[in-house]
Amino acid sequence: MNALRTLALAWAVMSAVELAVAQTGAALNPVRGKQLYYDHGCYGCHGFNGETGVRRLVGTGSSTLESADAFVAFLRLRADAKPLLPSATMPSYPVTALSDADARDIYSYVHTFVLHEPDPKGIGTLQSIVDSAKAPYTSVATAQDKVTDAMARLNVLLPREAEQTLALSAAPEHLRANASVYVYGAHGFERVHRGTNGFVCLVNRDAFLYGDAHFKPTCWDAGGEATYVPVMLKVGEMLAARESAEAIRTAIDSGFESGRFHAPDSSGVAYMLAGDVDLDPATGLVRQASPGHYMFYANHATNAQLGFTPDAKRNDPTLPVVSTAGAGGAHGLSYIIVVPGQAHAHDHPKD
Amino acid sequence: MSRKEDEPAAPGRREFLKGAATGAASIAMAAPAGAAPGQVHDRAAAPPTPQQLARDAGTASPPQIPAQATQRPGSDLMVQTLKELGVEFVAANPGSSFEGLQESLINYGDPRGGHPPNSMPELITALHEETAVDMANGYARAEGKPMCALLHGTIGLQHASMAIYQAYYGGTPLLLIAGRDDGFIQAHTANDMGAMVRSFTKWDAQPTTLAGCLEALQEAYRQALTPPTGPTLVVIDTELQKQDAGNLAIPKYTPPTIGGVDSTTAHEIAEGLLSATNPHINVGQLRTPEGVRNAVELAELTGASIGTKATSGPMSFPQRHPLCGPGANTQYDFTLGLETGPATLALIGPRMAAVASSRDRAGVGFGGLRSTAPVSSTDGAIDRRIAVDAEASIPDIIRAARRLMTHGRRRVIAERSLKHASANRKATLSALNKAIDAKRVGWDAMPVSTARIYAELWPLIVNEDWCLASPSAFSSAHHRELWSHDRPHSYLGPQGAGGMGYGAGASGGAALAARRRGRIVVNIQTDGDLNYAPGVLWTAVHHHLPMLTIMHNNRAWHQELMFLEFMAGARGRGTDRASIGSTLRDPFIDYRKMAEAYGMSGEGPIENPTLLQAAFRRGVDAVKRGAPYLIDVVTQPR
Repeated sequence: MNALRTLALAWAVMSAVELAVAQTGAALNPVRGKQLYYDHGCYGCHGFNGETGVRRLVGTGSSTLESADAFVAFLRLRADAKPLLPSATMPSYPVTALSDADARDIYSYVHTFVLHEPDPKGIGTLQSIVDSAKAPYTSVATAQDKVTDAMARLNVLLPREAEQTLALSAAPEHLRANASVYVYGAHGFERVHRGTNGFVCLVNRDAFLYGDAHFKPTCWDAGGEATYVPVMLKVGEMLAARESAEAIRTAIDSGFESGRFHAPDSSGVAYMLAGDVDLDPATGLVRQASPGHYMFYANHATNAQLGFTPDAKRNDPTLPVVSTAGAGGAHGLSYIIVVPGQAHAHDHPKD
Repeated sequence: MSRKEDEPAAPGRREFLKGAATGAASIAMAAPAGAAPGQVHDRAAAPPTPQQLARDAGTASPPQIPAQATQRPGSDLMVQTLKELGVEFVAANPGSSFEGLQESLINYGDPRGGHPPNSMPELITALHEETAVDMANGYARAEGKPMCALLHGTIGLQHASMAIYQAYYGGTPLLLIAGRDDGFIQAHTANDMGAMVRSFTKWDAQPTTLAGCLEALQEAYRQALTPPTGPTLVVIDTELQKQDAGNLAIPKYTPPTIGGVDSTTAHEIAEGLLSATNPHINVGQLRTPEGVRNAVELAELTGASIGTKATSGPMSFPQRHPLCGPGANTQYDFTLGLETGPATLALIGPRMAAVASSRDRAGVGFGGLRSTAPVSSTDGAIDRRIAVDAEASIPDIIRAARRLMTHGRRRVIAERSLKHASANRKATLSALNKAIDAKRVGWDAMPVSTARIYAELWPLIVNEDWCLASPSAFSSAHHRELWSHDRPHSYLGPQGAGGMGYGAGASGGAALAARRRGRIVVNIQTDGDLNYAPGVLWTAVHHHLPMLTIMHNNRAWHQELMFLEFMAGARGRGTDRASIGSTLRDPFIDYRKMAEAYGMSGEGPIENPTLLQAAFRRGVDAVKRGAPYLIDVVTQPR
């Protein structure tokens, strides 16, 4: 492609020179013309390639560019013929400002310009612009609107027993009876049962921080109780107080900066075996919105370490993935999420 | 400044200085007690002493203060007042005239009771007062409400003055605070500080009591938001900042009452829209996102086709809304104008030019704000103009329309809306294809065509909540044809008064607004403009602002180069020297290295357009993580 373009350019240069020689009897110098085009600031309005700017030069069919004589006459027109009525756009060029020889060399350089009009269908970028314009319009909702909406959906009080049951549904059955439980009330989370096995369960409501509006019943182990849980309780406290998402994020950031919150220094697990949960405010019914999963504490872990790629995940949704999206995720409260029991199910179709 | 007798006594600057261990900051030129605004000091022109300058230069220790200066500093109440007004940010370059307020901003009011600095409002470190005000400008344009810029007495205020002037011209609501320390460096104080910028601020006050100060902050906020919106200033004496507040309570704030059309006119407009066969609404720049949402509601309620100015500035109608466009039929029998025309009937609120003369007591006579200024309105033909704020009127028009709605009308409107949506979609795609046909010329040009910058960036941000904060005229504004401006903050418009040094600062302010709202900010940055106050790049890094800066690096103040070429050409003296004084060459400036010096990641210079997409992708990814990024693109001039 480049070779073809170079060839076309060379041909254009030769044509221009031959044309000019034929017209004037004097050889013209487009190389010198290029320097003059730059020195006299012609590029200012016409672009470095004659294709851009306030007045492009190529592909216009302008009679001014039909010959060197026409070009020079055009440059002189205002200075010589109408000196008192200068153009409002193109500067005037008397011979004292630009000699005939210089003007002809500029002309010969301008004639090397080639109009490039690639087919838009061959340009992925331009096609994607058209495609995006064809997408159906949804709303003018901003990211902020979505966050506000998600906060409103999560800031609801469930019947106390239902909330407690939902919280415990995140844990494996053998851990439920002796786990501590928090329920969400008017002032945030409050403990309603003190357990003995070190696990803490609550219906986490931090999803709005990453553009989600699902409830997240979660049970953390003892390490999580000391690290993740205080952050989630703080989120609940401020959500109940109708603080803004910004204020909540600030409080979390500040808590980590002051040492009030910290990431775990050892591995551990949080169970979300009930998955994400949707609540229909009209009926009060809950619906599982995503499969249950395990979440292992993963401070400093990266998806690169796991060999994770978005394409691979698309092909196999059960692949483990690092999530830093939740409250405190940027400060080390991250997880490796693993979906159990479904791995490679497509390899073992049911009869 | 005199202090009222009934105010609690507090140690003043002079008392502090008397106890200074170093003795370095004695007052040689204290203002006469009780000096009134406008009163001229005999020794006002005397320069600061070497000791005083030493203090400001940081080579002398600050004065000793009593172990327990105050129980409840007045500046704490000022911060609480800002907090209650919803002011999120205060941008400042440090100055001794507001030490008390700065100390409160960082140490007061942490609702969590922990050690971190106060974050509401959050103190933003600006490297130049002009930048502080530009940031407030960008924030206000994005959010439709003021943030605060805190300015040092006299010198900081003068640094900020051009940016204030721009905001005034642009009608942007800002809350400005200037410190005043009449007991310290005389060159940094004045009898009537606000007089320096009175001709281009909407309102100002220099209160003499702490209670008056809190009221002034509230009034300044209210005035800034009341049409015509604009910058307001409160000058706060350093003694008021340090004064013990005792039991002083913050007065209750009352938001501005902005009047709309009366009920008769609202009814008339609603009837006009509903009874027309083919109504149309032209939406100009409203004031707030709420106004935009209401305009959408009115459009959907009445099924009118819509004209928008969303490609020219913020707070207009979403461009890709199905009703936005000429509609199925361009013979409109009733056109409502909301802050613009053309229109059968237009609601156009007060604009700054209408009140400017009353503020210009010095008689400066700024062009464009004079009563004799030539009319250069872009409103178009208006049959009947009602001087009332449009945004405040829309809810009443909606209510009236709901009352007048019938089943039959609802059916007609539904059918009309479908036809408009179909026609507008065709028109949009047709215009887009036409634009693409034009933009492909020079697609492969080196240096890079400005059209390709906008084209390559758009697919990477189309699904983000984005904000183009920088003025786009100098880069040929290709976003107008290629992008879709669907949010109130999609494009924040031009500088206000055409002043340079604005783009990066305004983008920084818009990025402050964006930081916690899941939004990213795009700054297509002209090279000449960045060099006025590039320190904002550091501010963006320091405060983790989601700001993607793409240099439109044509190595010139290019508009001036073209003007100069024409001038030289008109005089017949040639254009070969026009580059002198209007270009940035010998040497070229390396903006990636500039960014690097400020701690910002970046890349470039890029002249090959095939490298753009990957670079832009890296940039977008970075800002989505909260890390500002700069890409230096060497471009065609326009």
